[in-house]
Parts: sequence; C-alpha cells; structure tokens
Amino acid sequence: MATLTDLENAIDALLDHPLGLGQYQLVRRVEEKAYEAYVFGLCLRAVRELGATPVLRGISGAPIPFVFRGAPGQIHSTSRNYGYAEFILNGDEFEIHAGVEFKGSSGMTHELDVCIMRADDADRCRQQPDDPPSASLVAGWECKFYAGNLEKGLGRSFVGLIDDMGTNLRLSGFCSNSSHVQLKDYFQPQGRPHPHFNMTPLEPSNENIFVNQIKGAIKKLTGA
Amino acid sequence: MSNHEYTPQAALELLIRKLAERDPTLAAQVRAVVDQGKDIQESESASRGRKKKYRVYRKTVPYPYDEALQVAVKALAACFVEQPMLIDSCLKNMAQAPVGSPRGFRYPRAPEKRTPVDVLPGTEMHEKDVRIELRTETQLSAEIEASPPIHEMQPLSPIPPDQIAEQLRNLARLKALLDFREE
Repeated sequence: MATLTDLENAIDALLDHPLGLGQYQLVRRVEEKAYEAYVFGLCLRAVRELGATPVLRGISGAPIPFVFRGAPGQIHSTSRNYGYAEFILNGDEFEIHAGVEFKGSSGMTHELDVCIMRADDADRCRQQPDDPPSASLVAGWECKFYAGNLEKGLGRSFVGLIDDMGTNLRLSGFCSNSSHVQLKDYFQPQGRPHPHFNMTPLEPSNENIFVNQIKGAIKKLTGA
Repeated sequence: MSNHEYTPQAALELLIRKLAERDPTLAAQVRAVVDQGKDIQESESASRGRKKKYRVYRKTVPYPYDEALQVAVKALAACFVEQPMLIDSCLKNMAQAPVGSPRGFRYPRAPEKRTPVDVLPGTEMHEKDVRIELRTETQLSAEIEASPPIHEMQPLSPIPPDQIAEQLRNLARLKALLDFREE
C-alpha cells in the first residue's frame, strides 16, 4: 500500500532534483521564449531532413552567442546581433526567424513567434529597413508554453493574424505543450492554423507531424 | 480495497502545501490550473412539444480530486520535465547546424545558390552558445553589442541526459502514487 511518506518522498524527489525547482526558477522568466527556441530547432531539423543545411547567422555577423529576441522586434534591428537561420533548397533561399514583425495585408504589423520566409525579402528589409510584407512569408507559427490549459483567446487572435497575412502563406500552426478541446475544433475549418497541441519532446509523434508538415510544404514550394 | 493510505483530496493538499513551502508563485499557478475546472456534457428533459426527449448542454464543473491530481501533475511535468527537455532539444538541433561567417547584411549574397557559403569551419556538430534576451531591445541603446553582458541574457545550458532520465523516473513514480483510477 502506498503511504503518505512514499508520496512525500516522491514529491520531494521531483522538486529537489537538479532539473526541479532550481532549474525552473532560473528559466521560468524565459519559458515562453524557450518554447519558441525549441520550435525554431524543430524547423532546423525539418530542413536537415530535406537534405539541406541550415546555417546559423546573425543580423550583424557570426551569431556567437546565438541570441533569441526577448520581445517582438524588427528584422532590420541593430540593437543586438539577433540570430536566424538560412537555408537553400533547389536554388530557393529561405530564412527561419523567431519573434520578427511582419506587415499584414491591412498594413497592421504582426509578430510571428517562429516563421520561414523568403531570404531575398529578408535581405531587402535589412538593407532598406522595413517590416517584411506578408507576401514574403512561407510559414508561421504561434508558440505557447503553458503549465495549464490554453486560453481560447490565444487561438482567436492567431486566426485573425493569419487572416491578415495574405494568400502566399503555405503553412501556419498553433504550437503548444498544452491543449484545448474547443480550440482543436476551432482550428478545423480549412485555411485555419494547424493545431500542434501537446507538442513536446515527451510526444515525439507530435514533433514528427510538425516536422513532416514543414517538409511537405517546402518540398511542394521548391519542387525538391 | 484501496491501494493508498491517503485520499485524493489529502494527496492534493499535500502536493500544493509542499509546493507552496518552496515556491508560492508556482503553487498558486498550479492551484489556478486546477481551479479552471472542466467541461462536461449535461442533459435534461426537453420541454413539451419537442421531437427530442433530451437536450444536451455544456457545463463547467470543478475537477473531482482524483482528476485534479492528474491536472496538477501535468502542470508540474511541464515545469520540471518538459521545460528542460525543450531546452535540450533546441540545443541538440542547433548544435548540428554550422555557423555562418561574420557576413552581415551589407555583404552581397553568393551567386552560387546550391551550397551554403561563408560557413565557419568546425562549427557543425558543435555545441552552440544560445541565449535568450532578458533586457529587450526597446530597453537598450541603439548600439550593437558584440558580446553583451551575461546579466542581459539567459543562457540555455545543456542538460545532462542522465538527469533527464532520472527526472522522468521521478515523474513516473509520482504519477503512479497519484493514480486512483482502479479504486
């Protein structure tokens, strides 16, 4: 029979472990951004699995260290040497960014947590500072790390954002370590973002779905 | 016969209390997750003259204690297992990518478009220094900082695989002790 002491010991073991409270308290202020960094990493994996080599770059030089934005920002920002990745497939060049703002079809700017865009447009916007147009966007994802259930409003906002990103967008998705039954239904109609719920390293099959969707969309786009 | 010396309610109280002793903010967060309750389908007799005898509607109710425990454990798993694993996954995927040379946006793109250019030798399959900005760009001067002070960044440190395995075992043990489904 399981005793209260067994339970106390099990709780202590989880909390007092090196990856327990100490690690959590250190990283919790950036947990949302860490989730974006994780999704960015999965994009790199998708590119590699397509046979291309993603190269890590920085806005103003080699990305050492590789810096993820702490808040949404402009692609041409020179405040820091923010990192991004670049890859070439079948002669087409793309870039992967995190936390970059785009100009929607309405003229309003929107932040995409992680995105894949055409490299020529990204270059142009860095050389002649401007927000990239929605037409330059190939794929975009909202990323939410939640200890509890997702909030419905997050899904509604992202659908509105995607609606303003024009028709060039090949792929969009809402990624989270958590889930929400009603949001899953809400994302079902055609043209709405794919729900990538429960997407964490604890659920490798969900990671594979995400990676395969990227591979499919990029393959179709480049004819690779 | 029960497999537990304690009730689900006592287990939840102990869990929240132990958490609150160490981190009141996280305890409040987990409590809030549990207090969100869950949606259920309720049915009632339809009013007279309708074809269907029953109508079904959605209702949000509190979790029973045994389910509340599972929700609380899921929240803890997000913090103490998923989060380190996310960082580990990110670092592993980034380690495999080479680093581009100090070529900024002022430099033209290479005419040859099929292979990566300007890659720093030896950077592929090599651990990267990855950081997340703490002081955001709107809080800084407009100057580029080649090597920003560490306190402005949160480094993502590599996670030893044995620690992840151990924490997964700790989580599985706790889940087993809080599983009341067969009682």
